[in-house]
Amino acid sequence: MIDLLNISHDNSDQLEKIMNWKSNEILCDNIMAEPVSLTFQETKDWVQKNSTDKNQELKGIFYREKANDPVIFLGVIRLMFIDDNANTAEVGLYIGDSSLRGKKIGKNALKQLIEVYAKERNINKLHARIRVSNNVSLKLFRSLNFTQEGFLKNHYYSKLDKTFDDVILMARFMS
Amino acid sequence: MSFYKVLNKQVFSSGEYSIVPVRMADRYVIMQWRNEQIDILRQKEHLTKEKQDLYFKTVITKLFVKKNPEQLIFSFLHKGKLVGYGGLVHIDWNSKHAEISFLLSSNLNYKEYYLNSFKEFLKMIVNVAENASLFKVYTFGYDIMDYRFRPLYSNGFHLEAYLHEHVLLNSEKKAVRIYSKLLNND
Repeated sequence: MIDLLNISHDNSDQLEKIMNWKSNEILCDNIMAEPVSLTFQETKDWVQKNSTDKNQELKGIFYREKANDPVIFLGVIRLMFIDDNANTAEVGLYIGDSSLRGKKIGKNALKQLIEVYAKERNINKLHARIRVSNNVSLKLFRSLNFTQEGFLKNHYYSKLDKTFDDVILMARFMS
Repeated sequence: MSFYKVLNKQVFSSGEYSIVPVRMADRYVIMQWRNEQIDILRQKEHLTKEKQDLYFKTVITKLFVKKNPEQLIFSFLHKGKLVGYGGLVHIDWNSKHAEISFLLSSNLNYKEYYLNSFKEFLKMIVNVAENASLFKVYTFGYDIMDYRFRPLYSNGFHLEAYLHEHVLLNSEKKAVRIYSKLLNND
């Protein structure tokens, strides 16, 4: 079972996980983010700031096998750059804990984000930027009816791969 | 004249046009153009002289001395007279690309003048990007007047993305086009 819940800026386990994910080079490279080493306090501030930003919806991805099982915090999903005029938003998503791969966690999380939070915010168009080499993400977004709107040649330099990668712009309309 | 530490050349010319690192003295005229053309800019509120002073003091002046500035902004001159401004913004020094921004004086922003001046501006700003060792430049344009994209094609840009219903302009949803050009820096 997947729940999208607010990330608590008072929960040290959650903050520590975010701290680790934000400095994880492989994870960051996948989502085209610069890895950063944050202190505990800086991570807390980051969560607080982004949770209260009216231009985004930041949620933690929580998983449990069965109803009474302990809940595991394993990723972050959000609507970013919400444009209330054009009713558009960018989707950001990562699963930091890869031990539960294959359970369609990303797909269920994205589905909930669309059905609950995008609807609640009256979003009509969702869009995302994905590295062309990130097959898992591309497959995930395509499975939820995102289609390609753009192909940005050599748009991301991977320090890990030491090469330029193309970036695909995906989008889907709600209605 | 101010100069950008990151560039080894400061003034770029093409025919009767030139660009120079943005001049402090031009800040209020730029503010006026931005306010007059707010509909087509990603600017939410009108600028005031105080805000513009603060922006130049806290953001622009610092760009000149940075090793990796986030923007390289220029005053755009025709026969030595200020007719617009623009530059490279959102510079990504890791991926070595930047977005081109361009704004003409409100009273010169008509078709014939736009076509010629933007064409020349693009030549110069591509030279700036090459001077800064960038690999790619791109620009966003609202899909409103087809002729506005012509100078991009004639300067070797091509369409990379067409974002449907992406912005709201005058109560109508419009598409956004992204054009880009890969540069020859190695």
